[in-house]
Amino acid sequence: MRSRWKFLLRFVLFLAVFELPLLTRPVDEYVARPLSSAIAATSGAILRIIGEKVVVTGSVISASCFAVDIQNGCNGLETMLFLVAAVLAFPAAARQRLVATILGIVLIQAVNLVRVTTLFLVGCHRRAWFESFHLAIWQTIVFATAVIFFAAWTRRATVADADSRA
Amino acid sequence: MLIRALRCMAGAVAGFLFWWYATPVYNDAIGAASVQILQMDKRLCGPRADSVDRNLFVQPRLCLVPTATIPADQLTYNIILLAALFAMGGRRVLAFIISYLVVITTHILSFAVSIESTYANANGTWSEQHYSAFERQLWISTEFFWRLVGMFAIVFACWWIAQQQKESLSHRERVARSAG
Repeated sequence: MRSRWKFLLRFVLFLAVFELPLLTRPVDEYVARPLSSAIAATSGAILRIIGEKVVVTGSVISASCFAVDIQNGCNGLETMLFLVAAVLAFPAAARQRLVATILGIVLIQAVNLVRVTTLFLVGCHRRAWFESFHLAIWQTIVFATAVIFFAAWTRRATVADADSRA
Repeated sequence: MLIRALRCMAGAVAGFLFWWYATPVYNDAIGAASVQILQMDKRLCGPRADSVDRNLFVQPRLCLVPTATIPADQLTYNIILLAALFAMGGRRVLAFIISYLVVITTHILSFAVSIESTYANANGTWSEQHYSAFERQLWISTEFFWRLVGMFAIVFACWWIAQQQKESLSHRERVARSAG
């Protein structure tokens, strides 16, 4: 009972420590924007492979049919930090946390690439659906991925912890 | 595993349908509650809020103040994640209802924050005359934090507590059975 609340307290604390700096200009300029540009470049490459004629300029992917600008909230950074905060707050061995953090970040960014790519395609071919897909559907999928990954990891991490104690 | 994934998807679809179709009525109810909080802020001149399409239209009643339109459905779609996560774990109706009440409370607060943030930052000279630079930054930062991560963190927290409660109950049942 007490450990449950302890976890939540630690999670909220880590979340605040990780997320609040994102509101500052230097973090935005030197971390968030370069990440958004990298995601735009990668998504642009994927879209070109599947035959879309797109041009990438900074964080903007454009074509004659549609353009998307990958802004804060669309680069997966918040979800990554959300997951890292949860992993660090959970009482597991340092090595397990490190592995979960790396795997979680890779997973979130992979899902986010699919998100950006499909959002561009939805905007290009079904413009009316874009807003719903942009927030309600894809944002839910990205966070659900983080939560389900965390839940699956906590089961394994707890078992590993019990094994090492035994 | 497959059953859990299917349940999760079914919950997400149910949550999406509820969010999509209930939004106008839901926004009206949540908006009415949130403007009760905002009566405390005299700068907003006794605002009233009405649901228009999927937005909330805010109109001060007591003096001449700009109106505001809040994209309210963007503050409430975390119920899709809530429904998906709870559906994954099976029948926990009471835990879901309690969690949903918590989420509704945060919706009321987030509407109030979003209205304040809009008045503090989106009304040009009026905003600058009525809100200090610190207040403007505070409201927009709170809204930004909430929209990007807070609204999901509260769902995760509710689900996590319910999940741990369930595991602790089933552990106690197992212990009682083995003792018996």
